[in-house]
Amino acid sequence: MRIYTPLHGVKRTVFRLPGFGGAALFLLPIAAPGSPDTEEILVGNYDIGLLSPDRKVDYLARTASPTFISDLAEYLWAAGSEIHPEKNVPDFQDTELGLGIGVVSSTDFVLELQITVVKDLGEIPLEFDLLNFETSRVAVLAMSRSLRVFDGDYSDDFDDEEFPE
Amino acid sequence: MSALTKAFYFQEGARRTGIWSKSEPAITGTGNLAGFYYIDIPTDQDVEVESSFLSAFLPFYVGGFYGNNPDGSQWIVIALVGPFHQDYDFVFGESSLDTLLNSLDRALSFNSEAEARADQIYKHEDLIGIYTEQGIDGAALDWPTSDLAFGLLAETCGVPLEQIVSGYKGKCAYPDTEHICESSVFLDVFATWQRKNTPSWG
Repeated sequence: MRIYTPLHGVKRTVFRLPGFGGAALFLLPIAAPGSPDTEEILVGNYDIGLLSPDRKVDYLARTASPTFISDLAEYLWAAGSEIHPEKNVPDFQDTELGLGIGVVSSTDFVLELQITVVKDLGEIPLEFDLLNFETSRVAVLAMSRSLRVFDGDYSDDFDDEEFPE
Repeated sequence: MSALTKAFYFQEGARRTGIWSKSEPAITGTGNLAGFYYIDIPTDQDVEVESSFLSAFLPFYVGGFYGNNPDGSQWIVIALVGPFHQDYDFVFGESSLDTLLNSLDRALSFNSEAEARADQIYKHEDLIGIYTEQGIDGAALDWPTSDLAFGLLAETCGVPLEQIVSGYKGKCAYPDTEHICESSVFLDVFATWQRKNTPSWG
């Protein structure tokens, strides 16, 4: 028999997109067994957390589409770097996970985001939990970067020609 | 060098990039407890967002300032002012200090990578002592504890405590200089520092 020993000192990966005024979106990745109907042995599940100063809601163990991490990283990079993302960057949606993100408005430094989470994926019609908050472009780009690293992409984000050595 | 700058042993070359404050502190009156906490913020976080994020979960916060070190690490110093009671059974069986610490712990639980590294705790009379050490008449300081804490934050903007005290009643930090007056000696100092140190755009 093996006694379970917690891995002290090992930090779990939690993606956190914080906003001004105490709002945040959390994504906690957890591997889970794939469905017997598919060839996938493991699938990426996520706990989705919405936080504001008077509310904390978690939607647990939801399966995401296989390209969720890279799609979200790409979306956040575009939203954080585009001059008018509210017009030029299509909203992000992962229908399997039930998560949507859109830019409502922007300035040179700040983005107002709307986070949409489907409350119950098995229920028709769908009901949504909404969280709007302002955050900085820096925070959005940092989240994109950490998602890319988690996905194994350590490549340079910048065009080499733009920043010659 | 200001009292808080001395107290926290900032790295050489550390640079402050922002300051913020609450317009109305939650706890007024004298005889309260002030806690200043130095919090490490990871390099990949936006310290301006994190200071606003953190203070939203701190019911006793009055203000703070943030910045970075030459090695890229970042920090926040946040000031909390809570009620001081000798009686340990005040609320939830907490001491006055625990009340501040527990609120900070809760706020930091929403940013697991941020870490409180150091603190400076002052009773009302300790704060008065910091002012009198600089030659200010303690009898003139009939201020609420939160204003004494504001004064220490304002001092970190390079304005001597003496100037802050002399501008307190007139609600202006720079009476002899043309400036946009905020009608509070503290807000006047914070706003003037912010205007000087924030690049203007557009």
